[in-house]
Amino acid sequence: MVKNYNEVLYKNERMTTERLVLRKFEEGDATDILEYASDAETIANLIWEGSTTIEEAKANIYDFYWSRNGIWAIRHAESGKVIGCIDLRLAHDDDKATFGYVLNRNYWGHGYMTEALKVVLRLCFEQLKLNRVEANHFDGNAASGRVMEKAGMTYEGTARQAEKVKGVFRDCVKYGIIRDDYLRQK
Amino acid sequence: MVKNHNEVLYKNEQIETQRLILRKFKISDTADILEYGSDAETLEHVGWPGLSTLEEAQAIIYDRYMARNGLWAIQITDTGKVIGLINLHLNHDHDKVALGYMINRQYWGMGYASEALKAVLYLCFEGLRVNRVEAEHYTGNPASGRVMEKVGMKREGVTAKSHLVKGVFRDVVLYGITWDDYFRPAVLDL
Ligand SMILES: CC(C)(COP(=O)(O)OP(=O)(O)OC[C@H]1O[C@@H](n2cnc3c(N)ncnc32)[C@H](O)[C@@H]1OP(=O)(O)O)[C@@H](O)C(=O)NCCC(=O)NCCS
Repeated sequence: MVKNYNEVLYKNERMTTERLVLRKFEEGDATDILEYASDAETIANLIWEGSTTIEEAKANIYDFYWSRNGIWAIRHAESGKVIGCIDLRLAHDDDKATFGYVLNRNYWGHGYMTEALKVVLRLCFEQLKLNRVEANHFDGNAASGRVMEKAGMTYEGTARQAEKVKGVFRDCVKYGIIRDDYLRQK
Repeated sequence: MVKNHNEVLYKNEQIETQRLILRKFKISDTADILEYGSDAETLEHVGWPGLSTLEEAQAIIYDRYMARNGLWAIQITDTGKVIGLINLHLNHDHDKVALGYMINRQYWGMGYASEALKAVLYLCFEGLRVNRVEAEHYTGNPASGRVMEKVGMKREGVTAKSHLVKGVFRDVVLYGITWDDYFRPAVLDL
């Protein structure tokens, strides 16, 4: 990992792809956040409890979205709507990172999250110079596994009942991509 | 997991198996610790950097081994020799335990690790009543995977280069056993 990783993250607070803009959350995003944060089906596969009021959605901006760098709002360029979030968490000891993401259900199935993940992976390997990026999804959320596959990650195994989420033991389905994979795929 | 997990651990500070005693470390164990803790081939398979003097062995007893519960010296009952250690880490959020162990190379291949692991698994499920126990080893150490398999753990995957260990990115092999695995009869006669 580069030493100036914070500088790299700050310089990439805004990243654009074909159809999306990844940028910092803004106070005005609360309504759009609430739309995905209050949808039971959307948060079913997340540790996050979501939000049910506009106040909670706002608090979410102050308490989480602005709490550190490496958290992007996903803005749908055409409509200007914030349709989700992707965030990166660095693990310095192992020179790697993990991430999480969520998308408004009305926008599922159009390749948006794959597009967002790809640009974050590019940042991870080309600028942050990480050795590995990894993530889990819970059982029953194959769409998330598919996103990771389409972005070039490899299925590595399933740790059965490895996490207790909202009172239920869930299997953790593991995906990873190492630097060599990334460079080979380019 | 039971609420009184610390009480359960304190009451099981000493566990006896057929050939072994799992017990707290003592200051008189320094020479035995140095023996397995300074062997390059053994250390190749663990994240621990090891040690090279009796003073370091003594320091690790005070600083690491005595400072917590859920960590046992593995002693051969007949000879009194300490041949390794086994430890557990409780994960309260997910109601599970992670295990680690190491055995002096002179005593490999005699079933000691499996015997110790089996006793600790019993404690985890019957005593602590956790939902899952997991462990991992680096690739290039099939014997450790075999130990986990022999006690009923299942190989769940391999994460490529996921740990940076002493300057080298290592592939990590994951094993797990759930409450259902542990208590489910091997053959269901329906
Ligand atoms: C997971 C999530 C981010 C996917 O976003 P998305 O923009 O719809 O993803 P994409 O369109 O890029 O790709 C989805 C892929 O999954 C596939 N898919 C959808 N439902 C599926 C299912 N039930 N089983 C298998 N594949 C499925 C789609 O067909 C598509 O693959 P394809 O391009 O080969 O057809 C979104 O559904 C979401 O926000 N879910 C709720 C939060 C969440 O689960 N976050 C991830 C936690 S690990």
